[in-house]
Amino acid sequence: MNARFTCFLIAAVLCMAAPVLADKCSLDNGPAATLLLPYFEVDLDHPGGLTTLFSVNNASATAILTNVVIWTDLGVPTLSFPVYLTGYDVQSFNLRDLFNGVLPHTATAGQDPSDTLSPRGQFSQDVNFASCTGLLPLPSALPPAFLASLRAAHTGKSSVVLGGCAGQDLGDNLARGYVTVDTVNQCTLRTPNFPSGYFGPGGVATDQNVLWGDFIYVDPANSYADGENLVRIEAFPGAFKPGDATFYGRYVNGSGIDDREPLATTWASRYAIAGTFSGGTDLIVWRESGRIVQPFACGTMPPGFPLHIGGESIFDEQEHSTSVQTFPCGPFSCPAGPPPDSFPAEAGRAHVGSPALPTPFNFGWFFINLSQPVSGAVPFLQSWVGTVMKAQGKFSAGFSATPLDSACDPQFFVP
Amino acid sequence: MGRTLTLPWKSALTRCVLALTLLTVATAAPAVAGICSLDDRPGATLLLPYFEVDLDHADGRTTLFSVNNASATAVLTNVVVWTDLGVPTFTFPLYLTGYDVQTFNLRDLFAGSVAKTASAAQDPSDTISPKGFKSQDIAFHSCDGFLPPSDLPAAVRDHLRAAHTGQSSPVWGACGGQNRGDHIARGYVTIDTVSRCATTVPGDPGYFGPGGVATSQNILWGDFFYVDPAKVYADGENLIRLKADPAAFAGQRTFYGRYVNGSGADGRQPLPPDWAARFLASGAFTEGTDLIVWRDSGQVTKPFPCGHLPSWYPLLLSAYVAFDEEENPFLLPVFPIDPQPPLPAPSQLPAEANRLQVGTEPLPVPFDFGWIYLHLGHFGFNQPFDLSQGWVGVAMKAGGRFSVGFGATPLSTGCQPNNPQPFN
Repeated sequence: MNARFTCFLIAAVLCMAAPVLADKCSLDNGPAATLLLPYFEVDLDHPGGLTTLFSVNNASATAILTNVVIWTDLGVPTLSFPVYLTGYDVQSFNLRDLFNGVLPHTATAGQDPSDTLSPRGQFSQDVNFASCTGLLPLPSALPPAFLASLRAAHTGKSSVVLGGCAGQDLGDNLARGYVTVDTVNQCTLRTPNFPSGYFGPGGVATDQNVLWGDFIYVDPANSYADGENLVRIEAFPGAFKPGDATFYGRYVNGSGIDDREPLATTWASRYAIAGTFSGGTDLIVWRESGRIVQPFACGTMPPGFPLHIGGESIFDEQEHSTSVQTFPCGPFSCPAGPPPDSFPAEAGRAHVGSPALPTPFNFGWFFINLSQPVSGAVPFLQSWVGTVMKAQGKFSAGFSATPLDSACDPQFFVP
Repeated sequence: MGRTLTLPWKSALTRCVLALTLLTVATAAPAVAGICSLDDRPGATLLLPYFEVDLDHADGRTTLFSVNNASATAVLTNVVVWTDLGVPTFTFPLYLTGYDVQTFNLRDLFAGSVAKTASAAQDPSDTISPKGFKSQDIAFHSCDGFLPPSDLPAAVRDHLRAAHTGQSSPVWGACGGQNRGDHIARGYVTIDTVSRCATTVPGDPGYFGPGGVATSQNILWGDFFYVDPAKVYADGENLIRLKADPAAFAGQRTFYGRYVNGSGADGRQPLPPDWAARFLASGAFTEGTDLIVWRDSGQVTKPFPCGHLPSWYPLLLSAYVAFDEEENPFLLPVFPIDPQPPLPAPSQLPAEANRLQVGTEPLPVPFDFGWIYLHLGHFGFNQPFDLSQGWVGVAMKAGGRFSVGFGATPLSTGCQPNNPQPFN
């Protein structure tokens, strides 16, 4: 190893060791230890139809291992696989490929000594993760039976592998769900909902804040595309104590040992359903149910679903408002509802002005609190909201809504 | 293949030690807790980092944005329009009742129309700035004579159109922006919360600090869109929300630092200098990727004689590396060295507000897919090294079909800016 490379590696380690974005309760776009693709859709009936693309990037010179987990829209994990990234690597995904049984091909130095699967550049580290022998590179295709179960699970049908249903059946053949990507220290078949061995001392998850990426919804038939940054969830080792909200809090019994910062609970999102944006506005929502969701009997919903909202006010551009509200009240004393089920699942898309998300105004904004009151280890339910505005047959634009708080310090207020 | 940072010392060991020392100092800098992260929570200042309006085609490219009040309390704001070289050309007050939203099409401004708002003192019947029953509406008597604003006289409209297209302004008798040889108005916009109506802009006496008009109300949010009906493009993103804390930044870097002589009196969080931006120049996105870049020249720029440019122009980069998806790097030979060599490209993100296509001369890449590491630091005029702040956005386009826009990834905070990564 020459002096120049040694210097470079020391500098890289210094960069990585620094908590470059030091607010544990701020939802910023700095590189993180977990990425969240909050919602995906893939039209399984039309090969040229709607799909979701995303990329996972490594901001550091150090090679890293990640664990990609695919979840249904109700929060049941259906598939996980490791993805290895050399330093400064980028791996792009089209989720249509996954639902066609095609998995990404990466491999660490131990499984890819000739650098044909995961090549690296002159500034990039490439190391061997011996734990990945036998796991990487992934098989070229998913077994047909498993693939059929995967497609069924994400369209609300009965999955043979899971032994029941795992997602909403919305009467179409769109695969829906969300994706998490965690930095890990070994190839694993575990997922964050494992009772032990994923987080905490000896766990596979690491706190390397080096991941960044973006996602794009592409609908070629309707000439739409819109995108946004993947949600970056930074890890702050030791910063969260038992009882604190964390991103994976429900899976660690509120202990905080996942070290991941939580999202927000209250959001502001502008909308337009007339004028230039004649195609209206969709809200993309990922929200936590606060529960560990297991496969369930088809024709039913898992306990706790549909999810309700904590409160909502809709303003027009002259501040006239209409409200659906369960607050103000304490987190443990609010009535259960019945607010509208605009966002009944953990991941979903709702069209503003539809029966699911009605508004009396053509232009305005939503003030929405998604932290429905629950009890238990995770009293404050976090969420992420995105906005997509569309002009019919012409163009669309997507961006994140505005977080008005953090689950670190949630506000129980809706005007 | 060149290097990203060519320093005027000789030994590799010395370079290494100095680079590591700089890095250590940077990473050890004290954080200003809770206000350094560049997140989307409401702020006291909004930045529209770049705008463009096609003045030759009434239905051509334009820029829309909105300003929203997240609180029930009425708020007064000061909207300042700047050229792409950072010269303020126009300012007007904007009053928002509680939970108000005001939308703008910058084409309207260049046609002479100013957004009409008025506080309770100027609009007692609530016909100009109506309010809902959950919204406060109060009187700002300082706004008598300011609100509601009248439409622009022809001379002011002509001034705006000239100043933002790099022509001689009839008001200044001088220029204020780049002349790109087209008739597209370019620049950026800031919106600050203020306590009273005034004709001042950041940098004027009495704007920041004790008794100044600027306030630290972190309640503004909003978004912006670039719309190009002819090419069927639209992409948008959140306005940049800059949080304020009047006590947090004494003597430290701030967003308006150049206008307060580095005192921190503006209390606005600074932006970071180093960014990562993905690009696609093939595949579905057939028209490639543009980078939207706002950056700080570090200078207070005044109108200048046409045919000349401000002394700091063009702004340079302290690091530029493009990686393909197999991490093969592409580097430019860069600055500073003494004497300066001929630049490899005539300019790189030369203005304060820029939009440039990846793969063209200022941003060369030999790859169809990958990402770019940018460090916007540049050598200051009285400092050995100036870690200049900036913001970078990405717009990916498919010809005649769609486009996608989002913010690039900041690799540090403005409070703890990274030095350029030592690629060499």
